[in-house]
Amino acid sequence: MKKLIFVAFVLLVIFACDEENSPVKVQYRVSDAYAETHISYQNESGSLESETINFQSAEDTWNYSFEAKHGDIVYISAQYADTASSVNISILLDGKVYKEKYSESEPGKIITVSGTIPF
Amino acid sequence: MKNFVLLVVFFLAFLATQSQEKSSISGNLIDQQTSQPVANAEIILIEDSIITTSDDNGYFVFKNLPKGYYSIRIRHIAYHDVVKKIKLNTGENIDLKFTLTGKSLQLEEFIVESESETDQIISKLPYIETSIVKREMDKNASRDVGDFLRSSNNIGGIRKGGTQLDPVVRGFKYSQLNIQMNNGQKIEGGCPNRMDPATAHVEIEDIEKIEVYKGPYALRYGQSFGGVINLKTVRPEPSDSFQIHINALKGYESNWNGNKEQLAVQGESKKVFFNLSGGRKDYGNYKDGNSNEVKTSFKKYNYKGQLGFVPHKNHSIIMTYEESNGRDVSFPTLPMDERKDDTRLISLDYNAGDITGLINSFNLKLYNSDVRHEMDTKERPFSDTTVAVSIINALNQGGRLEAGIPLSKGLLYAGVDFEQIKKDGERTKTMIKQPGLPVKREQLWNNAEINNFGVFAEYSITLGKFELVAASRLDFNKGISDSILVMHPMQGEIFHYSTDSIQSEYINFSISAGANQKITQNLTLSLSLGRGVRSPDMTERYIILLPIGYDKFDYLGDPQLKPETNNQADLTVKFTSHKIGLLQVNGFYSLVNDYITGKRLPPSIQKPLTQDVLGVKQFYNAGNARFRGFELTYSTPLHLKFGIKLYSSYTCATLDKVHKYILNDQGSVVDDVELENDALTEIPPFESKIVVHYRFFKGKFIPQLSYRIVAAQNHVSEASYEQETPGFSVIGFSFTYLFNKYFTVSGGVDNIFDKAYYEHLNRNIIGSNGNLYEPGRVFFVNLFFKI
Repeated sequence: MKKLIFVAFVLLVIFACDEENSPVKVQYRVSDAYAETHISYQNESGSLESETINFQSAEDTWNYSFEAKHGDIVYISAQYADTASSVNISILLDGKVYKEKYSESEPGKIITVSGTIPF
Repeated sequence: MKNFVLLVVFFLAFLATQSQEKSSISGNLIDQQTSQPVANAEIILIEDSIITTSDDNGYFVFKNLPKGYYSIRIRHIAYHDVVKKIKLNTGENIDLKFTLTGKSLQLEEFIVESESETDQIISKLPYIETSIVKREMDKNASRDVGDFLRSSNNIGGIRKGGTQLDPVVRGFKYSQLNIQMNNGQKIEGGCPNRMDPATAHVEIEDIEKIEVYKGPYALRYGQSFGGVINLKTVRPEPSDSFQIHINALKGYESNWNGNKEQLAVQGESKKVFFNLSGGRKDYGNYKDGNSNEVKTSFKKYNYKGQLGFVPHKNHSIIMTYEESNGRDVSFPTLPMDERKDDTRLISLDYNAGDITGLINSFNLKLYNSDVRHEMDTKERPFSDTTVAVSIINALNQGGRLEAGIPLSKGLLYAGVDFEQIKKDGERTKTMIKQPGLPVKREQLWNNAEINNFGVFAEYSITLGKFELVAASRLDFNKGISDSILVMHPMQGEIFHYSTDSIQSEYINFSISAGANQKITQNLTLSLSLGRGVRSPDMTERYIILLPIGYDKFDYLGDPQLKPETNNQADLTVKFTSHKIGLLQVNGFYSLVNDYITGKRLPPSIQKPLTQDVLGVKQFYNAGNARFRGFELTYSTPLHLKFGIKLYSSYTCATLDKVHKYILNDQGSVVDDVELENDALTEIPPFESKIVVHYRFFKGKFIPQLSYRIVAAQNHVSEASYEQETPGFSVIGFSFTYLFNKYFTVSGGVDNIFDKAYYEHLNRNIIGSNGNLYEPGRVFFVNLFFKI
């Protein structure tokens, strides 16, 4: 019995203390746009999704959040057609800005931010 | 905090054991013929490795022993060994009487002696056999089989990161070595750059013994070319009474803040026995002797379950399932790091002994080794533009059947073995800065498969002063792969093999013979001659344009290669004396025909796939290579409290003819010249090691000091632009202390003076000519607990 208790205790100590590879909260944010903007982003399952967002004012923001692992690829791109528009795209990891890019008066250009979630 | 809790656990358990009432075992040793007491015999408590000697009256005693089961071994130079198992109850004092049978002085006594006490045994085989037992591993800061093997004579390791070193025996490496587990289970690593050699998939804490047979002589274990490394893992055994044993280990290393734990529970009874074990390791980056941090962190964990039955007397069946997993293993010298390795090993062993008068032993093994290996560039500086991920599935499955048959005063081992290797994998490159995340896929292997069926026999016999061993094997080897097509986005098709051109078949015949001749009572002369043939491996046949060599070329396989043949001779002199100790000097010479290496293909024939390489090399048979060298081993007699071990070795290896490619200032190839007798790459330089120890308190406390001197390696490959390596010397200290039957502590300091040095076999940091330095000063401690 003593042996069993010892084994159980050591097992608990050894394996319960294992640090999990904690997930990272990823947030894509698109802001500072004034007109229709086409967005592509990599979602939590690794697929590329596309949406067209009609921004009405500079206060409008578009957000998409999911949980990912360290080392996962994160990617978002934006493209607008209106010469008077602009766009700010950013990737936040656990609430902190990881990558960010601003574009103004570049209609038709695909603006991308991307990277791998640091280990 | 976790470490602290573990230490407290061990301490409390230690205190608990101290309060138990103690018992003792004593005894007398008597000569059977003369009835006189036998003095100076060694009496060993095998489970605790405690040693004492008999006094002039033949008397010995072990005091303050806890209750339990003990195996006592009596050893003396002039008598046969005696082993007795006893049960000791609390407070009991057992008095024993042993009658020893005399024998003429023979070599075998030293084999028994050295097996348990030194890592370098004087083998009764006519070639060099190194046997390393668990106790030797426990003394060290062992974290990897390949790393630990470097402490043996004339065994090196190619270091590419903090762990998973690739063994090199007398300059032979990769598939020139036959690495296996438990007499036959093979493992095929996943990485084309060999970041995970077979030894990387077996945890050193789970190993009971490592056997190394040098040369092409041990043909029972599969194709043997440069040597066999047999990793024998911990296995449960049946017992007359039901018993549960628990072994626990907690280890810590400074410098890279390395932690390891291992727990094993073994149950034994007459009919059924089992073993459950598991462990983990978590190491950070180490600092070299210049206090520079080297990116070498890694994590590993493993589980294992074994169940055995005794269906009939002398018959046993053992089923084994184990998993070993690597996570985030950094390789600063390679283009990728290991992100994830999941290895699953399954085996079934059936062993029978003394079946009829005709068969001494019968062993059957079936196994399946499944490696899923994932590597990537996610932690590399360029991962902001391109992320490359390679996933490779490597499968090795097979079996081995062997019977031991007494034949005309000798013993014949005969049997068959089968091995099937399957490999498939691709590399995915994601251009993460480009819109739409374009992905490029490249095949590394395309359902490549190699099958090998072997028939073998080994016969040993003693004829007068001669001990003779002869072995041979015949291998039928066939390789095949699906068609291979490599497309370049800009250049279009750059490589294509159709299925018709990628099949290969070989029939290989290997043979060896050797003899020991007893010149005098103490002196034995041994000669072995062997011819080992190996078929080209998966990489040499089917690799598709990857920079896997020592030089900066993309490599291309060739399914039509000829097999490599090693013709080798070993001459060994063994001197054994109860007063002087053991001395063994060996010289070897090896002529390798059809040596396999790389030859450059002009860009008009083949363009490279990898950026920034110098071109493409294809594997080819380069002609003759020659290996020669010597090994020296000396060990003082075991019965002395003060002991010295001395190791010394040297290997020189050359290729008769090889091409050197002349580079211009931009690194482009502008010409090539033929060199004669150029050195082969990655050959360890001359080195010597001296280890001194002293046994205090009847062997309970053994401090040990080691001094290793390694010469500069100036004999380097000119054709491969190999760099010379400066010599160095390092000093280490270690100790083992047996608190009691339950607790043992080992510890010490490696590289005491924090010297900055690197081995010749350490690869360069990728993208530079910077050397991968060895760890600076490391303090380590291992706590072992067993009940």
